[in-house]
Amino acid sequence: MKRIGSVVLPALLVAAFAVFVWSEGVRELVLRSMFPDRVSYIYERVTLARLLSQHVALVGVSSGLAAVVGVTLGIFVTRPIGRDFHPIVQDISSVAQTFPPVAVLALAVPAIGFGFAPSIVALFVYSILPVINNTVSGLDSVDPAVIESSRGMGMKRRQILWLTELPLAARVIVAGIRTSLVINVGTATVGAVVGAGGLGTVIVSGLVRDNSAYVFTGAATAAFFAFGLDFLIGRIQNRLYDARSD
Amino acid sequence: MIHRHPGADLEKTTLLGAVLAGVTLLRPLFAFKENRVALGEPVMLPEAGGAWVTGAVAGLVLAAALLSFAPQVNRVRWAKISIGMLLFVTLVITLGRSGSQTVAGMEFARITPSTGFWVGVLASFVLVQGSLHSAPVSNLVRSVVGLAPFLVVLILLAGGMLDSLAPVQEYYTREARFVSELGAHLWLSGAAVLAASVTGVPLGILAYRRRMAERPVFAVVNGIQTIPSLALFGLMIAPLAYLSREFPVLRSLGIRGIGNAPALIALTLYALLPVVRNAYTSLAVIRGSVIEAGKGVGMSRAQMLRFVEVPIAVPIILSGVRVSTVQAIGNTAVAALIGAGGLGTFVFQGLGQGAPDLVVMGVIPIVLLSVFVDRSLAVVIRALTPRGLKGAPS
Repeated sequence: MKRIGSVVLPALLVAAFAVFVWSEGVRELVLRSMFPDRVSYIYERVTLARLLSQHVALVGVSSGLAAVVGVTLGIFVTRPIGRDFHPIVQDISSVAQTFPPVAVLALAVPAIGFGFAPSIVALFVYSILPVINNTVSGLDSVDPAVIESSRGMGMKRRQILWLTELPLAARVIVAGIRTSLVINVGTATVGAVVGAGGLGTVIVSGLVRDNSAYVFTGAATAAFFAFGLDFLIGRIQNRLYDARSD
Repeated sequence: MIHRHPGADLEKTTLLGAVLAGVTLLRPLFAFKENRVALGEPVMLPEAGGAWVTGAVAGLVLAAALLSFAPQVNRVRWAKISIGMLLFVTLVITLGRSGSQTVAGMEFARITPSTGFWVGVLASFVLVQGSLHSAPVSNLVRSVVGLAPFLVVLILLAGGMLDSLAPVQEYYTREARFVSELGAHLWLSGAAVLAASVTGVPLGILAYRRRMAERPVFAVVNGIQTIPSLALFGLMIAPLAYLSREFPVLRSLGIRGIGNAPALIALTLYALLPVVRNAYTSLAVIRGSVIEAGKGVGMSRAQMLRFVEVPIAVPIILSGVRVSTVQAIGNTAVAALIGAGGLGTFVFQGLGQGAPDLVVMGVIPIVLLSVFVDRSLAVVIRALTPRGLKGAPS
């Protein structure tokens, strides 16, 4: 019974999603039943699969960079060498996190221009904030006594970081990466208006041409993608939790 | 923790600030444009400010660099804070003055701040905040120092000193429209947060009281948050268009597939999670700790509510409202894409026309609004938090 909820159902949903994205015949059938009397159902300029892969690339590259750079920076400011920067990094990231992500995306245009690469930079800049924040607070929350006892066991600084601090902070860090991903999936959708491509392209085109079938196509695909990704990371987080409580 | 003599070694934050301030001298301060769509010509600080200003900025850079080796005592901290402030004021005034001289007599000419200016602002932030953080001052002083740069800019704006700046010019050409879109933005985000608070608090309470409801409530409100905002707005259009077609009553109320109605519904749905979560948490906090103590000192049910439960719950719930509000201000910007108006209108107009200055003109008030609302609500929440529950001052 449990397997139906955790394996079979997600697998079926993913299969249905894949058919919707890759088979234009099926998609047209679905959309025709939902929105009768439309002139066109299939966005003809780019395939949905291509838009989805652009979206994945936008989110993957920006969040991947944000995760690597953010965790590194977070580690840096909690080491003796970077301690001086601890308060300023926290100040900047807490102020900047109140900026709407869309504002940062829009500002990329005057700063660096239109298109895919500037959007990646904007997504990266914004989504690094929760990663830094969580890495710092995760590492800060490790009990000094635990670090002390690791040192007592004869561990080197590097070993303490990798074997004690990072595993203990992992859950908080992954939560930060999850936040960064969710923000990026959402912001990347708006990226269509700054020429980044991605699933927002169909939505915006549908809004401009008053075609709700297009809007639905993009919106449903983006929503499913966001859900799926979040579900996946939720799983990883739970696994980390289980590993800790062993 | 190893305790060293304060300032025994180099203060790296200040050095970073000095290096960033140095960049201001090497990168263009602003770009001069003959008209709205012209490509900018870079203008460096020496050219814009002349020998005196350049010398002054160089002096500030040097002073900051030297002070990064000085011991971290209060006098040094205030010196660094002053250097940061002076740098900011010098840059803004130079920008305004040189800008008006450059565009004088040319009807469509304008200037746009460039990397040199922005890096200088960052340098000033690093110098001021880096020292303010460790300074033993009250929250009031901190707020005053934090607000000072905004006041400087406001005064200069009001005095017309920054009129040559391109975003300011974009503003002047659509002043009336700006006011109405600002109103629409405030109305949309405000109404959404209000609706989310009115429904979210009972939902949070329900989730806490009924174990059966807990999982579905959180699954739904969490799920909504993961949906991209533009997608959620998009998903609202079809059902609302259908309802408006089928029920003339709704249509006469102005409910259509695009515009305010779908925007308001989507924004409300988004704003739910923080409110629901914090309402839930507040009950858990009350249950967990103080209820027994209240009973112990012989409080009646009404007294418990008035003196224990409400004072604990209100700040926690308001913290949720604060997160919701900041989010709603950002999401409302996206709502302009489905015809709901608001400040996002300028942003997307600017993007559509390839007019970056218009984008900036739309984005800046959105950012300022979020930061302002966030800070003010933080102050309100701090004031409402019972003294015994206050953590370290933030």
